[in-house]
Amino acid sequence: MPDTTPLTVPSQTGLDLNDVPYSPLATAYDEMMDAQGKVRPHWQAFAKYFTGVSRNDLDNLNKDSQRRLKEQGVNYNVYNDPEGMRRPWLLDPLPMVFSEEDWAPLEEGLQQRARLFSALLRDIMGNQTCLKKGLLPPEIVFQHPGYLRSMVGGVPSPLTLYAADLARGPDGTWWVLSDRTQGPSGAGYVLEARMVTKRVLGQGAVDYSIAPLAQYFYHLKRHVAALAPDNQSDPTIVLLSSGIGNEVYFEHAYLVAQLGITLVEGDDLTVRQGKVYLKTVDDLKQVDVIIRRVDDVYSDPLNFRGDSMLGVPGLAQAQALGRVGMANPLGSGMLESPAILPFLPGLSRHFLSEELKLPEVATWWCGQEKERKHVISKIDSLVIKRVDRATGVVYGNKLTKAQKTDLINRIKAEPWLYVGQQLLSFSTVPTLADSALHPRHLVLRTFAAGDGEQYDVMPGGLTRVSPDANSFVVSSQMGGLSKDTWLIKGGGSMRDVLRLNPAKQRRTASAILTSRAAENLFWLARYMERGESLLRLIRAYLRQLENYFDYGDDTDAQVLINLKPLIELYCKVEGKQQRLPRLDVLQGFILDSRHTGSVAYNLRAAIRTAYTLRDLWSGDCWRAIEELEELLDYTEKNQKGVALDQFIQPFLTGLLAFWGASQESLALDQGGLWLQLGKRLERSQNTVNSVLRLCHVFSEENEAGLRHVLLESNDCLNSHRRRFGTDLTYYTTWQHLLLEPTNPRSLVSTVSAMEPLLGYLNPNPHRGLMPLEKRVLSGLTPLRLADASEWHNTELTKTELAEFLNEQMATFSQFGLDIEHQYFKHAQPITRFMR
Amino acid sequence: MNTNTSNTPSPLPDSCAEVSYIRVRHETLYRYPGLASLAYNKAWLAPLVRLEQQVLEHRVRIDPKPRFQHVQTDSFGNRVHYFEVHKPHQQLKVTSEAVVGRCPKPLNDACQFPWEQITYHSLQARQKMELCSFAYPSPMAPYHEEAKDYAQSCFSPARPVAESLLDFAGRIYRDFSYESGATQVDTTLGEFLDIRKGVCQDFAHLAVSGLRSLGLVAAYVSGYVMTYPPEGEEKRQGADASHAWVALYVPDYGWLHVDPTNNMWVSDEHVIVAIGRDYSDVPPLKGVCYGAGQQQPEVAVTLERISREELSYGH
Repeated sequence: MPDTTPLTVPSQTGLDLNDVPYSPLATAYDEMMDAQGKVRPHWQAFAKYFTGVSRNDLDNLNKDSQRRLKEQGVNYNVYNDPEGMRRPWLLDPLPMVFSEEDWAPLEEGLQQRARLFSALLRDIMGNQTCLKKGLLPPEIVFQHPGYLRSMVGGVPSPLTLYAADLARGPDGTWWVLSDRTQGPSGAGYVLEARMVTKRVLGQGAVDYSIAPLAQYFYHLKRHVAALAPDNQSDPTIVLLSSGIGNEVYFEHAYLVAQLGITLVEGDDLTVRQGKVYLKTVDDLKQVDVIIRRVDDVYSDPLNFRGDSMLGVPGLAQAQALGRVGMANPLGSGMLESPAILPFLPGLSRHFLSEELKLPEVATWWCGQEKERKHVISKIDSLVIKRVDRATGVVYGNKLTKAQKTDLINRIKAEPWLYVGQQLLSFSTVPTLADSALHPRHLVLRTFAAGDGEQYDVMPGGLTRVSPDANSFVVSSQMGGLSKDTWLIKGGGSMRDVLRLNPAKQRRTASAILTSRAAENLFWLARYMERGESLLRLIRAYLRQLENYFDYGDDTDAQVLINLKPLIELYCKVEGKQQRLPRLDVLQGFILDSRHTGSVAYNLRAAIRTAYTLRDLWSGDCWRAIEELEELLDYTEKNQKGVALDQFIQPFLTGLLAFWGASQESLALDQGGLWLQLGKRLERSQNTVNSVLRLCHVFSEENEAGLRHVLLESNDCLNSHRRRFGTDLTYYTTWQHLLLEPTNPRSLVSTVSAMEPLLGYLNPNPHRGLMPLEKRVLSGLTPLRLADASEWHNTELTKTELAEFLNEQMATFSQFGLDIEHQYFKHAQPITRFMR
Repeated sequence: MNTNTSNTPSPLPDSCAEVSYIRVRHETLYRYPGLASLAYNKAWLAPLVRLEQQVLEHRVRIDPKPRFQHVQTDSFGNRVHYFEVHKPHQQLKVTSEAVVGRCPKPLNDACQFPWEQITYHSLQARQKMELCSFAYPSPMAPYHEEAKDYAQSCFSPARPVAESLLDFAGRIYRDFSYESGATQVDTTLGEFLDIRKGVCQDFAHLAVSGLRSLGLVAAYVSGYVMTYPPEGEEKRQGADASHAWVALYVPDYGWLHVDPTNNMWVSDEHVIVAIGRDYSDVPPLKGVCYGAGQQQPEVAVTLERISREELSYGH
């Protein structure tokens, strides 16, 4: 074997890694060391990297990679996991390494397999010659629970995306374990793994030239774009996600950002005349191609599962009529059935006139009598799979007697739904665990994208390893780790890369903001602002309380009592009414997320919303959101024994970080506008509301104190002092808080900041103002014209100012409704019927 | 909106001495509690063209007028009407009108074979491939022990197909009572076996499940049947309902239809609309709409026998 690495490593026997010994298992093929204990040539540079590495270094490597992943916000959602959305994805920083010699046959085999599955899909959805010729028993198709009868006979579509899970047996042969044809996931994680691994290991380890990934994604987008009907040159592409509940939602968000396409959920799309449209804030925009990450049967509540909340009614017709490109087509899920595996060699000869290049692991379909008997008698040594479940694999040797009997009965009742597969001893690869290198079994997920005839295979893929040496389960849901996969290129390969790189990658239509995303941003901003506003109010209240404790002044008590209804504007106080809210009640207003309206309640709502917009946030912005969430978690856990006001500042700082980061990174047309609009509207309403609540309670005893608190809770106290000195009258307060254009937190400034935002939304500014702009103007003009001296005493405040503010309030409420009505009209309850 | 979905009329076989002509009017009306902004629907309403059933005319009227519609053939050979209503509407009315010529399909020798000779496993490979969907349990006609026992008791060893089938239908007819409203569209076979009363759909599902559990090939058939008012009373418009029954596949004969709800062979008084594995494959109308709220439909079906003259002077 020629030395493919640019480094010359003296041949060595065994791996001398100083403190870090590595001993492969006797029973499995090891990727790095051969049977003689020699490091395989393509691993030598890797092995060299570890010469002189200590256990401590390994530990640091691991920590470093997890830290980097966390910074990137990479998650893998585990259903029913208490940690929920934030369970980190586990990445082993040590890569799996491939030589070109090992890889080339795999690549060819995968290309062939993808072509074969594409042909098989067309055939099953079309003439069904494979069934007529007896190459595939009809039960495998017709009795597959995921067979979509209604898709048969539509405009044929190729299988654009293909993935396969491979494992290497003890003799060094790669076997196909299963095929992924519906919405293969993992490609986004590969990108992330590459980025982190390269950074963590540093330049030293990556001296070799590793085949880059960028090209694969270029080809992927090219093949997907080619599905657009009518050869649309600049197609609108969306990725249809099942949303935040999906285990790989992070990847959906990551991929759309990489590909420059739009992330959508079922609700964002609508079918009209058999075409698919995207609901944007402006209008309906036709969608040319859908990258589908919602399973077949959930994709269309009219045609398939009626209880699906993830789909789009009429989507099946749109595909069948050829009016939208679908990657992968509806109906492709059935190809994942392991029952097809034993028939693939014959199908390959039929469709491709070729012998199958990659072997699949021995599989027996129980729909055949002989095979069924074999599976039942050998159940201890087999893996049992249902034809319609990608997961839920049962290891015969792990079953109790009762479980085994139960399984055998189920197989006998519906034999066509089960297969038995040979247990394979997967190869091992060095993996970091407990500050040492350990052999772990690996499964490689490989990816291909193509047009049905020609496929581009991602160099490498996603290597997943089992959590311990005795297990062959590599699922991330079961605690498995992922690894980057390096295909080491020989000399000169980098030139190929450059030559192949697309000369002119046209700037395609940028991602489109959906109406749902706009609404979510708008509400996220309102939640955040509401939480912030309540925080400031509670802080002002606490300072007042401190005064009262210090001086025992009755007017301070009066002020505190009068502030209660203001706090209740946000948070309903339950139970026995106290004269003053107790401190623990106040603490609940901040930290009890179950208490409707509390700070935590609002921030949690904002953060949940932020997760649904994962693709929009910049790295920094996402960090700010995660830090807020961590702060919430932390303070909720450690709230006992910490002074109340100590919670407040970190939250305010966290919120400011978010606002700063979002304003710096989120362009107006990419959603920033809705964030700004929501924040301004919420703040205007809060300011008006709080003054309005207090208008009627002013009296000689409390007026100075209340004015002080109002300014403080609106973060205007300092600027007021600078402008008016210690003079704090009705006039100065109303002027500064409501009417002062140079005070950025005044009502007039907040409202006028909305004007240019709305102007941006106006599609035809030359035709004059939109109704929404007029609405804002009808609130803004009286504000600009008002004179604070007309509200200069308690009486005038109670009458004139209250009336003025009531009108303002009505204007803003209506404005909020107008926005909802005009821009967020996408979500409506759905009704199904059958008769 | 008129859409004629019928194929060119097929000639009836020479063997058919007397053709009976039936006019069908099937109206489904949804009155929504709220306003529906968008509606997507599929309808299995077009009568099937068969040797024993000629379709002279068929049209579907939809109100409000759909913005888009498309007629497709499903994988069982039924004609399906897909339509989208885009404008806000408070009610949706779908009217299907057909004129068919019907003649009975006489039994032949194949129907007298011992039933064991016509099981799915005795079929040729090509037939297996075409009938595979009808040989196994399906969502609404799942395997059920009691259904199997039922069928077993009528299909005694070597008993002729036709005799066994009619006996099976009769047994269901006697043991279960027809009661409109006793079950819903989503009532399961198990529930029906418990309460022992239901509608034609339940009778058909029980028969389908029983036949398949013996290894036979059986289909659910949706359609209509002529009804006669009690003596001395005028037949009321819309008094009939959509109907369903079962068909058993007999090689060298084809589908042998029997109506367990009425304990009779399906003859020239039945109109065949669609064939599927069970109800869920061929509901007369199903849909998804936005904003409307749930509502039970008002369904009215009228069947009348018409003479050859009325046919030619028709509307």
